[in-house]
Amino acid sequence: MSTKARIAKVIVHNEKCAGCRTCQIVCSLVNEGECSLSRSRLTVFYDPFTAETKVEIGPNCTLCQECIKWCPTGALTTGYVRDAKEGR
Amino acid sequence: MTPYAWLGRILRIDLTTRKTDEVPTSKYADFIGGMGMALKILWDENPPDVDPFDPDNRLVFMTGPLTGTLAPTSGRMEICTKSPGTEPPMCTRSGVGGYWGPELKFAGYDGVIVKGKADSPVYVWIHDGQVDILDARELWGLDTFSAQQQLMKTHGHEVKTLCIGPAGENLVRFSIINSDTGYAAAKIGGGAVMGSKNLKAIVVRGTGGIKIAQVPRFLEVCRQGWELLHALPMRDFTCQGALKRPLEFARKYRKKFVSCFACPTNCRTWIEFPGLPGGEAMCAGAWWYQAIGSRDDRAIWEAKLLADKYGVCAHTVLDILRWLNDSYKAGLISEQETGIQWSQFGSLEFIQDFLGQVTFRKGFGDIIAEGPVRALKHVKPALRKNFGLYFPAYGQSEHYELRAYPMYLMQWAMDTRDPLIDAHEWSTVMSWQHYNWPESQGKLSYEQVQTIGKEVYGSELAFDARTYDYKAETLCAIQHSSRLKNSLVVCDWLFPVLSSANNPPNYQGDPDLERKLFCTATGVDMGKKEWDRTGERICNMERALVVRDNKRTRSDDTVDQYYFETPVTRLARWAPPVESPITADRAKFEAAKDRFYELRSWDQKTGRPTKAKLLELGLADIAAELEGLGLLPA
Repeated sequence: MSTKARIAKVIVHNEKCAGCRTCQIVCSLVNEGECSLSRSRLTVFYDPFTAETKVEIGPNCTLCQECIKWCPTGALTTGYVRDAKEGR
Repeated sequence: MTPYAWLGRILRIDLTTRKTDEVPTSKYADFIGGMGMALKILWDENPPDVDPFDPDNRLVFMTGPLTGTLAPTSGRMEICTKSPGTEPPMCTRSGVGGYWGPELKFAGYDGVIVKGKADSPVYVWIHDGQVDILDARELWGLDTFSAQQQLMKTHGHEVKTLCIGPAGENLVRFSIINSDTGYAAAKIGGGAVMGSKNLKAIVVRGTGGIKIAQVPRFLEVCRQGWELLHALPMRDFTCQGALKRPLEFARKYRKKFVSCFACPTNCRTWIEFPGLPGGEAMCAGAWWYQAIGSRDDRAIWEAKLLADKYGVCAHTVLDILRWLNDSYKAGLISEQETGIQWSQFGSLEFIQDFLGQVTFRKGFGDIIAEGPVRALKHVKPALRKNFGLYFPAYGQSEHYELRAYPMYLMQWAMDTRDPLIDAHEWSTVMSWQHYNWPESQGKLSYEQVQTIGKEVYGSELAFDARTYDYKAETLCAIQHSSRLKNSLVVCDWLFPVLSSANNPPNYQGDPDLERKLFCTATGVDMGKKEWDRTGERICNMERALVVRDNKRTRSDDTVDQYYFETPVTRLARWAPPVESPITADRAKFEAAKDRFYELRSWDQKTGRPTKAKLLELGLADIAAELEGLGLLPA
């Protein structure tokens, strides 16, 4: 596959996620001007009884990378994927 | 009050009439939020002589302006009430982290005031500004994990719940209010107050947002805090990192680190124990059975789970068990008279039996469920002898050695509950980062600690740990900063940020961080002097509450006589013996109190706030009420 066909994405490493939602809050504050989980462009699903986490990057992500900068555990990085779905 | 950071409305629920109304948050803006606002609400609304279990006793759940924002550790909130867990019952506070506080703000409220008593078990469902009081008869009797899982099935996986277990339902005086698997509002018996109101849970879900006044500057200050805190090695520290056994346990069974909302340290350990439910673990709330002698890993983890599920305060249970087990070993109580198998202490069977007896008020457990001070009336007088060792004041369980460290003695004497769980501050630097912090994690030298003392408190003597010098001055500062952080609300473990591994060679933090976060989030322009005065205002209002309700006076500002009579031989249970045993010095203690009242401008004879001080702090309504009751010093 050529480099041109790749898409830059936020890559999620769910096993590293502590579930703190800092990514969601900084996303909404920087991009929407207020602190709100529901207005964030990514979503952290956290099960409080198993500690399983799943982070989904929304289709409206502009790759501002604030979530990566603020993630305390390194659970978010940037990378190139073949198509948008692989980055989620 | 600005339209930023706060939502502007506090929900008030009367469970007797099942009606709700709202109080504008602006009415309480002078008290910031959290503990400050909640205690002022108790001043305004609670009858002074109300019993903790009277329907008229308010239970106030209060977030602060930083709760739910990007401010580091903004997952916290405070719960205040006339406490059944202190002796005498006093209006006091308990903090809790996790996710409930932020979710309440996303649902549109800064806080919830609960009064009255439902005629049958209920829970409250708050969702995007709507409030429903719903039937909880099928939830009543469930443990805190099962109740939350049931409520998630009913209202969706994303809801956040604060609830009680059977201990709260059975009015155990040291019951907790719990969220998830380990976020507990403990120490003050808030669970029993919910139980007395027939309130099983408050479930919240919100999709709203919190506006920030100065977004670019707020981001900058949050980032500064993030950098300072992220560098701290809190993860092992919060597993009582200096102690070998808890750390070994955590490393053996840890699945991953988990976190409160918006915290850069992710200090909580998720434990997966074979065959048992997983859960969050942090410090004494997790390793308490191990700390008092259990060497059975399964029993240690099951004890942690059972305390959280039943909803009892692990910290209180820890010292009740130390007290009783030491008494058994000294031959003061027997298995026969208590019906408890003390010879099996440390085993799984023992802790299951003991917690079950207390939670369901069976046999001897019914006496213990009334809390240690009330239990004293029903046990042999011989158990009184060393009682103070385990419960220094107010019937609250021991926390740090008082005799060797006059700072802790002063903190205890001037509070309404165990003062150290939400005012670690001095102890974080002195007891942990200087004495106990492993060398590998960047232990602070005494010179570095002194530098911090001079910069933060105005003198190196602040951290002259064994003397009474400058401790009154330091206590004033600690009380102000702890009341402010518990009003914003941010984490006690991490704020004020007095040190950071990111700032060699002296490792200073930034003690002004809270004020900067507050100002940039709310848009309120407040200088350092006014910020400190706000802390002083909250302290004076808090003091006025116990003067009004409990007729508190100077002679109440003390700890058990035990500490003035019985010398300490070890500075901590795990430490080597001291060279010469130490007792608390009554004369120096009273002199430090004189200085403290002088700094506070409180009456020397009664330790009560003066009219002039209350007026200076904008507390004219409090001054007028105290004057009417004849409780203002002449």
